[in-house]
Amino acid sequence: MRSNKVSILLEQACLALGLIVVLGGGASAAEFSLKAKAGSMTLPDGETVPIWGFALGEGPPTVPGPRLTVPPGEGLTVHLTNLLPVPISFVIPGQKLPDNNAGPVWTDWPNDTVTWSGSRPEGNYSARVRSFTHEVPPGETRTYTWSTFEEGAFIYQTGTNPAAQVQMGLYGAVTKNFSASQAYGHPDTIFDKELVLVYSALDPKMNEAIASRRYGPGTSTPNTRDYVPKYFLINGKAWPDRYLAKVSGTTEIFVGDKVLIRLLNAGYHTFVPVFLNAYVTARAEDGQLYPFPRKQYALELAAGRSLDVWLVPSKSETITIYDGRLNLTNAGKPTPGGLYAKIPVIGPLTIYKTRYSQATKTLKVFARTKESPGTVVLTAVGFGDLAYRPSKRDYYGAFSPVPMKPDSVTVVSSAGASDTKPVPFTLR
Amino acid sequence: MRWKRFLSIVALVSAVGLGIGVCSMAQSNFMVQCPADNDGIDADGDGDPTNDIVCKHLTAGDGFATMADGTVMYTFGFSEVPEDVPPGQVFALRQVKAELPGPTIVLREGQELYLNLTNVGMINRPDLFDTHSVHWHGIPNSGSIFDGLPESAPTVKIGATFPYYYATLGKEGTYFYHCHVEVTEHMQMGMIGQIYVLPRQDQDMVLRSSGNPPYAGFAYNDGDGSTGYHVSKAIQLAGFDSRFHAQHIAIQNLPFAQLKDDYHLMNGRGYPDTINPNLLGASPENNGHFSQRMDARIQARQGERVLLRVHNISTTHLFTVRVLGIPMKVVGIDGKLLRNGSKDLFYETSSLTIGGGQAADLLLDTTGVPPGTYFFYTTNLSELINGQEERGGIMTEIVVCPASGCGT
Amino acid sequence: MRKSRWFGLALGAWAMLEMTTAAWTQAKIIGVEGTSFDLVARQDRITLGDGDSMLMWGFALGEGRMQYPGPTLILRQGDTVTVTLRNSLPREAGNVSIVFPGHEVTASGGVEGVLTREAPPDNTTVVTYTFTATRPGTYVYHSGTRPDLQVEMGLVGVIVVRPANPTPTPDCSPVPQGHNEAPPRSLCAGTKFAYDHPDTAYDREFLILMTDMDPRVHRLVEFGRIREIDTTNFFQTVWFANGRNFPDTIANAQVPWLPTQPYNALFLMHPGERLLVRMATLGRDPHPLHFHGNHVRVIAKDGVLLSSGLGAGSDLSYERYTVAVNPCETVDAIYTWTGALMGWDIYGHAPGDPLAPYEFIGDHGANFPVILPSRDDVKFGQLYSGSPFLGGEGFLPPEHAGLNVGGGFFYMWHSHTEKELTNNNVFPGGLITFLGVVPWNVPLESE
Repeated sequence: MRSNKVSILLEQACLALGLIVVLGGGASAAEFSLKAKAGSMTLPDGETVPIWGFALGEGPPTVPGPRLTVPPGEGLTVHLTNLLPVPISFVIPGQKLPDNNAGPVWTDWPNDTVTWSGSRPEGNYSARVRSFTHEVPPGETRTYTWSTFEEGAFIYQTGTNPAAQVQMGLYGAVTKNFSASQAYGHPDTIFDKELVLVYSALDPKMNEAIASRRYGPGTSTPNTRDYVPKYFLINGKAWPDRYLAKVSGTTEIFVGDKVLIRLLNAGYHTFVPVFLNAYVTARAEDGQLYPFPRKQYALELAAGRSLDVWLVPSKSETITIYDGRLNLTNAGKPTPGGLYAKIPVIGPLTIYKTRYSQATKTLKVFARTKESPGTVVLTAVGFGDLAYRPSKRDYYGAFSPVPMKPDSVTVVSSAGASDTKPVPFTLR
Repeated sequence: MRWKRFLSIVALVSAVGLGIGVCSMAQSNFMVQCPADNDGIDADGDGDPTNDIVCKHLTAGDGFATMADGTVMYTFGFSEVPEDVPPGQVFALRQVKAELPGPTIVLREGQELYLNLTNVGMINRPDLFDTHSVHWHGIPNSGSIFDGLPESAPTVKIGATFPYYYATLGKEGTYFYHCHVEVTEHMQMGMIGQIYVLPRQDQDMVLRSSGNPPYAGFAYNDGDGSTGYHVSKAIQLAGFDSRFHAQHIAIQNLPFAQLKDDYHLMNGRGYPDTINPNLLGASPENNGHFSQRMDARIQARQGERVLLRVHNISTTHLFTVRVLGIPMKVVGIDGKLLRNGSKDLFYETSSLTIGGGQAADLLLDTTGVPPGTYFFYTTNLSELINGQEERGGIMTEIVVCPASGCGT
Repeated sequence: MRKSRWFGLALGAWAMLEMTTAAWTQAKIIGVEGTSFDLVARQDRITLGDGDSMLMWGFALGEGRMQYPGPTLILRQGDTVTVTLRNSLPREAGNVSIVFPGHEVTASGGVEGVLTREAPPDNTTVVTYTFTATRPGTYVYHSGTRPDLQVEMGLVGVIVVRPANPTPTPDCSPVPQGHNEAPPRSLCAGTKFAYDHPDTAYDREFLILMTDMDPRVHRLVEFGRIREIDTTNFFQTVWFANGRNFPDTIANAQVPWLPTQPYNALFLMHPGERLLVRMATLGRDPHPLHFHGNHVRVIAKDGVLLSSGLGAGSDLSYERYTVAVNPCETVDAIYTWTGALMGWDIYGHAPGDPLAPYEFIGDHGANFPVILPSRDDVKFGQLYSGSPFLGGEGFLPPEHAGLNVGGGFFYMWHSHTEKELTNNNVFPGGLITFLGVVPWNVPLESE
């Protein structure tokens, strides 16, 4: 990763494996080798469904696919290997088609035995497009090249029979920023933290039909007419997955941070992310800046759309994003599920846990700060200093003997901040 | 196929009894109102003071449309009466001529429209006595007498004609029309058409020549040419619920509660019929009459600007649409330039959501776009269907030719 | 499924057009003002437009009956507001809570839920929500507990926050260019403001909350089969404006035969007045609300003025003939109508006649452009006065209901997802209501 910004996504670790930056004489392109493979996915209620997804390297495919990050100023090259039994292709709505686009592919639907590439045969009005750009036949590898690439957040996805293939999982996020701390050329688009949230949905019956080749003309599932999504996912997870309880992951969001949240919808229906207890400012759609920022708490995240919104939390609390269209269940079960995500926000100095053990007469205090580790000293008033723990990225102190459980504990920072929390306490 | 039985019975009735009877007893009911433009004022600014009154004679009736998968669906719809049909013969000659969509009405700003609507009845549903109307959807400051609402205006009975009048000054933009009687049913059945008003600015040859090549016109009176285009296409998104249409011709209760379109249409067709330049819909059921006369294919030379006038008139679906690989700018919504005073509210996107009753004017700039075929389709990907078929529905093709030309 | 009984029901509202204020108190926002509200979640029933009775869960004010939607809370900018919630629902309903999108809420009491603190169904525990109404505008509130079921069941409501500034004035709406002068000020409704800027001035205001329903869910709840509900199978067949289906939407507010649906959705105005339309949606689907008669100018979304900066007013506002409101969103818009540029005199004036207030001068005395067909050729709408002219009257056939005695122009405002104009298979119904533009000699209540 050449970017030193904090980027949050599950597949972060995989990304490093696949990213090779080719440096040429001025023009350079981030280069990724993706494999499209069959796999499976376990949903929070334990149900397992077959998926088709992208993977970097030899690992299993993920839904969404790995996040691709194009460094500032660079283009994009994707080598796509197709390990699926059907042809696939690769498009990025909001970008132009790849430089080496050899044209769409049409077939003599429903037989799908005769193909035409490049242009529709003269006078033929019955052929149907199968792929919006050149295909990767099963077992083969093809390249898709963008020598120039627009800044923004985009969905990449299969461009082949998208009604069937996209919902199988052949999608992911690709982003490019103007600089390490600025999303677009416009100076208003600077950010401190960046989150990518890929929304999608899943109908297990459709996945099973397609994975088992019982989909298409003449089969029991001729098309997507009866597609009824049962699971609703953010970065492939549904509530109550622990990941969504802190969708900011290992990145701490502090009061006053400019948090760029990139919302992408790879599903087939509109979602309406609603920010509870906060407004956000939407600045870009599909990688294009709006002429004026839009301050809203509810966002129209239409099918296929990406939205870049800025959240600047004003106080230490947890901000919840939920779907205004009420896709808040896992397959209809009565417990909370689906599209909930939480972003805990902490102050410049936050005690996030306190504990007292009667048995050992020990008081334990856990805290985090906005400053870089080691630049401040934290002191629990009346007890002593906390020590920085690199592995947990927090400050920790265990004090004993403390003969009686204190009602509260106050921590002060050498930078001037302080926080007081009861004992015991856990930040939710 | 119960409709066949009706067709034969009704055809007989129509030719021998009903048709002649109605015509003879109510000749004047077919009176078309069309005053001459002799005021000497050039209201549309095109240099000709005698062409500012546009008269249309539409019929409202029934017919059949053929879906891309071959399914023939019973429809209601509008069609235009050819000039050579004598008033007394309208009823007899223009039944079962419903088109999908109805005839497109294009006006120049400043023109006045006299739209005469004759209800020719739904001969395949002789049990129905529905009136019909024209609702010019969205026209600013409408008067209820010409608004087409059956609740607040007279609507025309079978065998009669109602004159609608509209002035267009200050009303340039993208609109559409539909029947507002029993509106859920009549719109689902296909009583839908396009109407748009070309801005007065189209007469400004200096502004037109500011385009390279010169613009064919503008979406709005923008004052600066920013909505100039070389190629334009009006595209209507709509849909049919096959069960509703089947129940209708079978004279069964209409399943309003279950309504969910399974055929999604652009200009009355599902892909790939959307790119077929031929007239379609001439099924035996429709007596060989072409009911689907409009395609949705788009062709432009590299470097040209394409104006897409898109609206959604589906009774069941909102759609998000996209052009893949060509930059898309939204310059107008709901018949209004996207501008507030000096502030341009134009924005670029590749996903535009259009609900029922909404319209948008999209400019596609093909500058630097490599020649080839591009796709305009809905991102509600599960709706890319024609009934039981996949790879259909709301999708069409945009062919970008080399700057030198498109060949044949 | 044709023809309807709606005009019969609506007769009460319409027949009084010539009468004075009593009939017209109905066309305004009815709600409860204050800074402290005790809400109780209760189970009760509502009546659908097709006559069906439906089990609901909703909010009640104190010891009152549950209502659908919940009480419209009318707040003043700057006030600190406390809403308490107690849960009197049957045990199987589970916990209940309230979320207030657009506000920074502190919650206490009850138990922790995914979105906020919740009240268990013990009819005792009180959860307290506190927030400061920092911004004027239109907002929604709804249950934050299992919203996929509880919003459907009816736990929804609207909040209106009025601006601290500017102060309302008794002025008439300003006269647009090319129009006749306003009537005497005593006839005008007075100028109020939606936001802290003169661009947001209005004469009258109306509210429309759009919701949807799948009756199967309510029946499963009623029959004790709540566990069988799968909210991913939702398929709505009933649509509401302010908790009622057409034709009940245009009946009077607070009628005894709709005890749990106190709000109507009738819109009325004089030519030239500015109508503030507050729109909100809760439920599953966006509803594209189409305005017959004219465009609206959208001035705010989610309680935020469409403005390029402080003091710039609604300089980013835009016009629409249809406004799609997504669930949880709110949209504020201003609608005006004068009949300008129609090409004929909408009052049927002769050239020398005096002008009506706000009449478009350019069309004064212009001839009606067509000859209307004979009355045998047409069917008259129940809201047609018999004359094409505003304030006019004309022949109506004996069977006609004669609902439009004052000669108003009536415009349908409705969802343009046209299937939503039905009540569980019956057309017309659902998300339909009407705007009546009535001549100035028909008095409307000044607000």
